[in-house]
Amino acid sequence: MSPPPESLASAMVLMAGVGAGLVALELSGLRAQLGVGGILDWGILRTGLRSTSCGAPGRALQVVYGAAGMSWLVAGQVLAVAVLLLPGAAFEPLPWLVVVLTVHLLLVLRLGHGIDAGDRMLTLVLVGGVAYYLASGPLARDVALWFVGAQGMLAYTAAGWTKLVSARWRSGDALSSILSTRAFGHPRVGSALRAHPCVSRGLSWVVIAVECSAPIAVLGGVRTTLLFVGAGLLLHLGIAVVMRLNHFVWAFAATYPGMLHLAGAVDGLLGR
Amino acid sequence: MRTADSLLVVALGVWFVVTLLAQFGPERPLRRLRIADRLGLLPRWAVFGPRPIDADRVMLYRDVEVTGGCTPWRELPDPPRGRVPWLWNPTKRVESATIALSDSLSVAVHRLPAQQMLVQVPYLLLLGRVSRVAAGPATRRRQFLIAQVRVRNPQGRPEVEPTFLSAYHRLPS
Repeated sequence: MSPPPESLASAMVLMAGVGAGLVALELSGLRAQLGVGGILDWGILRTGLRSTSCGAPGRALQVVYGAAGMSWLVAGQVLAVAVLLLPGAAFEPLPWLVVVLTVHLLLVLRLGHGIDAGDRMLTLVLVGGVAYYLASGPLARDVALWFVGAQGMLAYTAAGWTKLVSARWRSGDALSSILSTRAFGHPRVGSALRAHPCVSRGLSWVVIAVECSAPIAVLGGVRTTLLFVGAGLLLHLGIAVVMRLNHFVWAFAATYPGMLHLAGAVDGLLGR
Repeated sequence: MRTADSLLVVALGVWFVVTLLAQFGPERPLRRLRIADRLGLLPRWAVFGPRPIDADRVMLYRDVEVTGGCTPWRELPDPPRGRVPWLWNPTKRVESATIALSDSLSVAVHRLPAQQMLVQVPYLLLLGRVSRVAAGPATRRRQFLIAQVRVRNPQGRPEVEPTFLSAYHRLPS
């Protein structure tokens, strides 16, 4: 049986909040790259789109993304996340969640070419969280949780499918090549996988199997989804350690409560 | 169900269907939406597949000196990583941005005239990064090169493929 929706929503929002807080805090360690001449220099990035370079929105963003504005954004995000993390639901979560989502979207826009799948998933989960607390009836609340669960399921399925149709992934060459890069790799792991192609092939198939199994797990009900959650957590922890994609853990784990709620609905439909 | 709840349900449903189409549907109908999507609201989940990021995008630079000679190519150092990068890793943004900007330039160079390349956002951002490296007193101008460096053999021998060569630029004084 699936846990009650309130507990699932609360867990989802907490994990997404920690992820969004991490994204914001890490930006404070990138001042040189965010400033003039950095690879994320707003003065240049903003010229890429008219809405961010002209008129009142352009001027407002110029202020928000200045050194002082960025400090306020990060501080605001940390405060909002801290309130969400307070035990015992001391405050109504909706306003704080809206702050977290708004700041996260502003930071995503600010990062420009530097955003990744983890940031995008955090956005979707935070939107689902806001929708959950905004809804007044049980069906709309269910739909908000299902939205997040379905997005998580879709993300895994699409990622697994694109690997399954790739000959390089099936042979293990893709994995050993990725882990041999400086950007996303690990020197010892990359070297070991290049020396032992059969290990690389085996690991590649494990990744493909875990990702492609997401919809099967949900259709199998809460028990099989819990198994998937365990495998998914191990996968993301491995990715964090080896590839240093630390916020992926929080972003994708935050979809698991939604997936469990979907699985609970499947169990209910089938009378299990 | 209240009207507000109904609207919420419809909005989330439409959003999910569009995301689904973005993964498995035809590319063309959603192209405009994707270009305008600066907030990442319409993700594509093809993470590291089908064509994996299997090469580093390395930036090299050389300086033209007063004498007219050039320095050897030097590699722009990676920003330093922390001690616990699995927990705290701001530099991943620099790595992701370098890959995305380098790939944009490598594509744009085949479809834009040389003069237009000089004002492209990826070009200016990468030029900014390379211009921040301190120059010697004899330096007049600087040029940068982007190369893909891949390691696929068991010996760990890198394969280097240059993908973009910039114009020469005077450095800010």
